[in-house]
Amino acid sequence: MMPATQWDPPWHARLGLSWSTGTVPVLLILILGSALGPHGLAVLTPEVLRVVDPAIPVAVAALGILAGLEFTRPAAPHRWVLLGKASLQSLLTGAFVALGVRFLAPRLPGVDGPEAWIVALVAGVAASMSASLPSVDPDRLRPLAIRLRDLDAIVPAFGGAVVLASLHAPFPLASMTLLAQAALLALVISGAAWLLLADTTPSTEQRVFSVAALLLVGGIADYLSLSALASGLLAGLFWGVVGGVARDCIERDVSYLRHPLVVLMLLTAGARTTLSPSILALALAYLALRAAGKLAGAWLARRTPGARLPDDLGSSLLPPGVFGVAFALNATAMIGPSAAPLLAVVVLGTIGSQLTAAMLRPRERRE
Amino acid sequence: MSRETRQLLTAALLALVSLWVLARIRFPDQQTSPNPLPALLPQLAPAPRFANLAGEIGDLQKRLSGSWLVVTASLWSGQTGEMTRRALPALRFRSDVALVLVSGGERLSLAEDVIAADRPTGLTVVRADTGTQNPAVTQWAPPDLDGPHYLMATATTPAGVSLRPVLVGSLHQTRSSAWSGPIWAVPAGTDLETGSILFTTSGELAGVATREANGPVIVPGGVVIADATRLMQLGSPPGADLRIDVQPLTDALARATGSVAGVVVAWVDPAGPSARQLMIGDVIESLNGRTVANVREWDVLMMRLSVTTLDLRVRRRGQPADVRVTLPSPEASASAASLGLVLTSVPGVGAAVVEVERGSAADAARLRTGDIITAVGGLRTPTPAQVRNAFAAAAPGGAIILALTRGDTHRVDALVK
Repeated sequence: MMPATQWDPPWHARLGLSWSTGTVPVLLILILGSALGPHGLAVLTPEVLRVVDPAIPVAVAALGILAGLEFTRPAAPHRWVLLGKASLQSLLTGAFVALGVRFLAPRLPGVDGPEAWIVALVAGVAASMSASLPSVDPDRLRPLAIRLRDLDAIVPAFGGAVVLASLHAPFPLASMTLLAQAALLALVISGAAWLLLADTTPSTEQRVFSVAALLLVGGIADYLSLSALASGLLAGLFWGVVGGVARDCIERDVSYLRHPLVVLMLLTAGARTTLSPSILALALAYLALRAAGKLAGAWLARRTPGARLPDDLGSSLLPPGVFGVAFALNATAMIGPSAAPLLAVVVLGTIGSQLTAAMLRPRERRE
Repeated sequence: MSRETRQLLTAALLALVSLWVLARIRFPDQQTSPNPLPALLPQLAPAPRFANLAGEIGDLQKRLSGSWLVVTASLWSGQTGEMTRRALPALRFRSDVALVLVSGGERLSLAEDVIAADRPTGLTVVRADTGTQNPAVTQWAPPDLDGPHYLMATATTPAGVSLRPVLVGSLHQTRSSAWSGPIWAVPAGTDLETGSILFTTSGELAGVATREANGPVIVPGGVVIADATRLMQLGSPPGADLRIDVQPLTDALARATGSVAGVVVAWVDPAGPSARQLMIGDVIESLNGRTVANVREWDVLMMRLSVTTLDLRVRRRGQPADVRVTLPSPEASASAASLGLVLTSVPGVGAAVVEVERGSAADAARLRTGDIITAVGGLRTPTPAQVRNAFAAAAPGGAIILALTRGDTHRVDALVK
């Protein structure tokens, strides 16, 4: 394992205020979005946000694609062990947050009722993910704690897809059928893009096909009102598994677009955030439950057999990353305006988690 | 205890405490307060100006100008008995045919161009010159009836037809016995003139403005065109006059008569066709199988009647009864046109009107009790006999001219035989 001093980020990166390879200033962009949004300086009016809305599923799908490609990256030791541990801690966090939100739901206006479980599950899925933007450098072998953190979005992304599918079909079999159809469509698009890219040589044409495939994956998920994150993840896994020219082209071109798309997504999420006492209270609970879930998950992950993980794994898992906000934004668009408080809770929880993570930094760096 | 365990226990404790505290608070519903800051981007965009609005209306006017024409006609008012000459907008719904909507009490006197007219609605189908190509105008289907709408209304001037914007606060779908389909009631203060053709800002045909008993309404384009097409096929209904007066069935009258719906007979002409069949106080509940709900429906049925045998269902002294009234044929009515005046001599002045018979030539000319006929034809200060003789001498369909003094005013009218 590399020495901790080589990957522990500086203070401004820990606070989510700086931009470096593989990270985005989440805190800065969310606050900026909130300041520019309809409830702030009103630069981003509701009309402007409506214009931007169609790009959001594409941004979310791009994140999914990058996560899928990251998972299938060659020469990554302990992949399955780390995935199991990451999924364990994310499921534990998700369960903590979902149960806590469901417990508080009757006390909060607009959250109670039949949608309370959906809101709780979406909050749980968003809280369970700590993954940040995957690194594009294939040669860099990152510490196990960071690799585990970047893998914890995979299982929750598929779980979130099931939750969103259940919005359309109340019966489990029907929602599974819907999900299978969406997955099939994502695979068909991925397959078509793979075939096209395999026989295309000029990079300009490859870029056109890659971007078209990204737009289709995100667009189809949006049209079906299903999880763009899961569709992108499935497409990314497909391209990662088949490899070859397709994988290289997709990774290159989606990585080229990832920063603008993620900034757009975070700005939109920040702009859509509203504040009220109930939202602040729920965000406080979300933050506390997420921190407890991540620390408990890390404690459990360290004690399960497999790769040896550092003592301060919990501190490494506390940063919220971008996948949680992406999923919440995607889910809010699917559920409708009634889920706007949920997005606000996730955004505020993300800001709080980023600040908490900066305070509970890994021990090696402080010593 | 390791640092990891301490962090975990602290976080778990904080989570439990926050859940415990928050579970004891009931958060009230809170409305989102409006942002006091004005939106920035719309301020950067060029502000709309009145010149833009005028330009938009001008463009729309050019685009739609083929769909209307101006009909200059004399309008006879049934209420005042006066003729006025006005320019009216007519909607061209076929290349050679247009429709005009006038107030219910008015009639278009343009015999050579009128194809058919419907008295209850004031809808009149007229011939149009075929030189202008009729543009394809789509009919408007409002997505939201409750919201406000900007419509473009035609305004007629001697120079032609122009468009002006009208804000309609809301549309309330309702029914009228005079129209075949639903119409839209608009708020009372809406600035709509009867007969104005209404378009949307994108050039769709919204309808035609008119008035019903409760205020201004818009008859949707589809309804008005369908009714005009039907009117053109069937022709103007002759209508009928039972020579009775009816009034609404009030709650008190309903209790007294035992009827729940209908119109109450208030007067029966002793010389009329229903003198022996109907009595004052009868409640007419249906006519030829059609329920009569109110006076408006009765008037509409009477004005559109095209048969001479009427089967009425009436309630008389609380008991239902079936009554059949046979009307004289229109030809017989025309041939029996009478002067209908009871006159008395005013020496040195002329003949004073003591009574006007309903449905007579004098009634049609709107003569009233108290009028003094000061001249008839070329004869001054006529006696009652001279008036009657002058009318009798006129050919059927012909007219005599007479001078009247009504209070302090003087006028000239024609009595059509």
